[in-house]
Amino acid sequence: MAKDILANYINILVDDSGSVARNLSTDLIPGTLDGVGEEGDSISMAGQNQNEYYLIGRKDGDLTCQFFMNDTATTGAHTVLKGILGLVRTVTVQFGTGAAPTTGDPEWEGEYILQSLRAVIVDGKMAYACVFKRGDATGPAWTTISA
Amino acid sequence: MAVTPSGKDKLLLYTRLYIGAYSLCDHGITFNECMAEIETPPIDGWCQNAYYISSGKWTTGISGVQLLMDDDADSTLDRLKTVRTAVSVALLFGGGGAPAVGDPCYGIPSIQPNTITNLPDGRVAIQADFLPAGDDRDAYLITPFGVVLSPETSLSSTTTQNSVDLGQAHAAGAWGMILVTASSGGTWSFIIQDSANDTDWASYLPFTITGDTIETEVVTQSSACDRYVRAVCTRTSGTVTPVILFFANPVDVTP
Repeated sequence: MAKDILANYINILVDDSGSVARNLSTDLIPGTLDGVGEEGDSISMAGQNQNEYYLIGRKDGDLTCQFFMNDTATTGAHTVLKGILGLVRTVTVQFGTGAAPTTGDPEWEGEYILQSLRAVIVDGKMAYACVFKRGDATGPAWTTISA
Repeated sequence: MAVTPSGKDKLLLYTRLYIGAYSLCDHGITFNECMAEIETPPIDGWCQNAYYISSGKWTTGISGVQLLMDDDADSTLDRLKTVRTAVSVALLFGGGGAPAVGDPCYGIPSIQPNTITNLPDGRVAIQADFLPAGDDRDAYLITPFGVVLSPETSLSSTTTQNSVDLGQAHAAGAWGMILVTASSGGTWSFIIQDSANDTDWASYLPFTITGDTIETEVVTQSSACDRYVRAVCTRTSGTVTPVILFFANPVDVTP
């Protein structure tokens, strides 16, 4: 059923410093994920690589989100994010249809650089506010989760 | 380590603030944020820190630290009233309780550019920002987020703290910060050790201060760090309260 893609069925995976994908979904603060998708093409020059416009700041392709400050070794958001500041890593957002994401469900994936990592106070709790910027000239893309 | 390592119990209530070697969180109202940002300055060869300061942007730093004004010796007014001073600043984020070994932390050697007084809810408060003191060649500008290796506890005998699993080895080195918040004037040595297997330990990052006075120190290490680290505080005489923080550099970092 296509209309049952709910926010609580989102997975977000971020590669750690060793380029191993880590599922940070349980650390993601609900409602804070923003920036999945593309801007429409209205400012391009003919023949220009559209994705390069993101790299030079002419389009806003930032992925922003907040995570609880989970310090679990290897897999916690604190452990993963502090190790990739300034590095290009794969970020994957998966959307489950009526259930947890599985094979065939929509997926947004690409290379991003963690450009900003801020420890902030959210309702009395410590959290990380992250800004991921486009990390390469290819750009992220919509696909589906593979087996 | 946090009581529940889910991270969802890291309340502001369990956050501890150190300005220099002085714990001021009992006067704490709030802070705005502590940040780490990477952004290429527009002019090749330009010192990143100079670019950030002139443009109003920051690489790292803690903004909006707001504390109740207290004129006791070594309290908030004493510690914050003089601007342009170099001072190590750290925030420790406890989970479900006071910060413990393994909990996250944020630290920078900093410069305090301002002191502002304001009146939140009729109380006089003193507020300050802390900018990074170094330049873009310093490791701590890349890695201000780390882990607690020794929390604020008075020690009276040689102590080997619990180890912390960093998840993997770090090839790009690391840096450490020690804050001696209390001392009886005795003599101690402090060192961070590393291990590949959490069993066989070697010296990795020694501090030079002896813990005989209230002071801070920042040390760096360019060689690779193994997966596990721990702090060892060795007593010769007296008692001491050392807060030891560790920051492993991300892979491929190029300051």
